Order: sequence, then structure tokens, then C-alpha cells
Amino acid sequence: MATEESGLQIHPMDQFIVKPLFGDGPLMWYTPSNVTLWMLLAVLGATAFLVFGTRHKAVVPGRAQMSAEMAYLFVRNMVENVAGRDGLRYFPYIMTVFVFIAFANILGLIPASFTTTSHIAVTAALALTVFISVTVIGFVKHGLGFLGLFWISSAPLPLRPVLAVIELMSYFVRPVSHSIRLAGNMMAGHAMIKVFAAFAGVLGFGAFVPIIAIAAVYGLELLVAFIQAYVFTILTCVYLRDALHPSH
Amino acid sequence: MACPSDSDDDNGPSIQERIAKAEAELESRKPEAGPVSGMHLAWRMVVDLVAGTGLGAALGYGLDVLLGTLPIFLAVLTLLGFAAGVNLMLRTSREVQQDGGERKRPRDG
Repeated sequence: MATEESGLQIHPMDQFIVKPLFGDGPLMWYTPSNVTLWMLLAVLGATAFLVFGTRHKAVVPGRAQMSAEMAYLFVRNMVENVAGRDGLRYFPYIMTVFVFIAFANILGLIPASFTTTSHIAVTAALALTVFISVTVIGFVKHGLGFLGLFWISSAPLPLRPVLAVIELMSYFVRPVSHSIRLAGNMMAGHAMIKVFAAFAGVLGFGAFVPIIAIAAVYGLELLVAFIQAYVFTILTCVYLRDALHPSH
Repeated sequence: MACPSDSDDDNGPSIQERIAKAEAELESRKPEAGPVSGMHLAWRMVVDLVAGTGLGAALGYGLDVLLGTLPIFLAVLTLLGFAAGVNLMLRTSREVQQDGGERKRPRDG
């Protein structure tokens, strides 16, 4: 990325490097790294938001309780509208996913922090958990009838095997796009901010242009952080609905 | 836990009925879809398409390397992945149409 211009060194991807927290040792799976730290912070933030916010159980909620209740109702209505009433059994899991992703995204917007959800490994783990649980739920609820999801009974008979192959492929594409969407969105926005920041560093007096741009992009990123958590959650609900009601 | 408010007036509609009525009214004027639905829908479709093609190509290449039949599975599965991506796109647009038209929860068809 570095160009030959005077001192214009743009390293927009450096912010995504996983480093060990203590020292410079090799990075093993048990090494506490910046990913560990920021995930832990996301979990702590989510806990504080929901547990301490609703601690007083006031009849007239304060600001903290109000936000916690709004988040709860937001996800609950989403599950009920998209996955149906029987999807509410899985509401705790979906709520956890939503709050965790929202907190990881928004904490990642703190300058000099680390965005855990910009790593495909993190989002792939989240998407795979959803994928595997939804598949298991489908098979447990419907047995082999779950495979009816791939057998389009409204199509003419000779076409059905072809469509079944396409549907099967679509089923496996879903976790891939599910994870790429979140990671890609987070990574793109943060890299863009870094590129603008590098411009601001070399422009001297004209630096106010990229700084205004950064402010604008930052606002957009705040929106994206929330929307991507929302999209991830609503797609989880859509997949759950397919597992609960596999008939097309 | 008897609330003091649910037995005090017998002449008017009870508080539960009023809540139900208010909720029904809220439900009817609830804005469709979530925040900024157009942008995220466009993203959803594009990513589905790209991920489908990419997954197909990766699977095909892997199978070809394992079986030593290089171009066959790569070509077939890439096309299949593309078809799967288009299928997901169509499904997304169908969802939008269903939700936009009428709020019908039980899916017909």
C-alpha cells in the first residue's frame, strides 16, 4: 500500500493484526491476545448493559433500564415476527448473539481499539454455530422430513432434482455469506477510516478535508455497526424459521 | 399478584383490553422492515451471490485436486454456486415482496 510519495505510508490493515497481550511470544491458541481482551470487554459490556441496567427493576425505568428493555423488546419482536411464536424458545440464544455482536462492533469503533468482528475467524465461528444448531434443530423437529426444504414440491417433477442440488448448495452458501457480510462490512469501514487518517497525516494544512471525511465515515460506521448486528440476527431468525417450518 | 388497577373499574373496558387495543393499533402502523432496509438488502444479495460463486469454485477446486480431474468439478461447481447465489437472491426479493405486500405470518405456497 505504501506509495513513493513523500512519507505517505498507508497501512490500513495493520489495525487488524492479532498480537499477544503480554510480551512478544509466539501466538498460540491459549495466548491472551488483543482479540481475547476485546471479546472479554464486549462480554463485560453486554453484561453491564443488561444486568446492571435492569438491576433496580424500576416501574418507571431510568435511562439504562430503558435502553436494556428496548434492546430486549427489539430482538424479541424480531424473533416473533420472523421466526414465529415457536421460535421464541430460541430467543435467549438470538439475544446473546445480537448483544455480543452489537457490543463488539461498537467497542471496535473506539479509537485504538480492536474490532473482533472484523476477523472472519470470529464471524465464521458465530455463523457456524448458528448453522449447525439450526440444522440440528431442523432434523430433531422434523426428522428426515427436514430434507423437504430442498425438495421444491411446487416445481415440475423433472426439474426437482436439479433444483434440489441448487437448494442444497444454497443451504451451504448461507453460513459463508452470513460470516463474510459481517466481517467484510466491519473491515471495510475501519480500513477506510485508516486510509483517510493517513491522508490527514501528510496533507498538513489541508488536513481538515480528510478529517471531516473521517467524522462522516465514523457516523456511518456507527450506523453500520448496529445494522450489521441487526442483519446477522435477522438472518439467524430467517434460518431458524426455515428449520422450524421447512415446507416451502 | 393482583394489580390494583385490574379490578377498579367495571364499567369501561378493562386495562388488558385497552392494552390489547393499543398494541393492535401500534402493530398496524408499525413501519415495514428494519432500519435502512434498502442498503442492507442490496448488501445481502451481493454478498450471497459472491459467496455462492466463491464457495462453488473453492469446493470444485478442492474436489479436483483430490480426484485429479482438474477442470471438471471446478467448472460445474462454480456454475452451481452461482445458481445457488441467484437462488438466494431471488428468495430475498421474494421475502421483501411478501413482507411489503401484506403482513401475513403463515407463509402461503
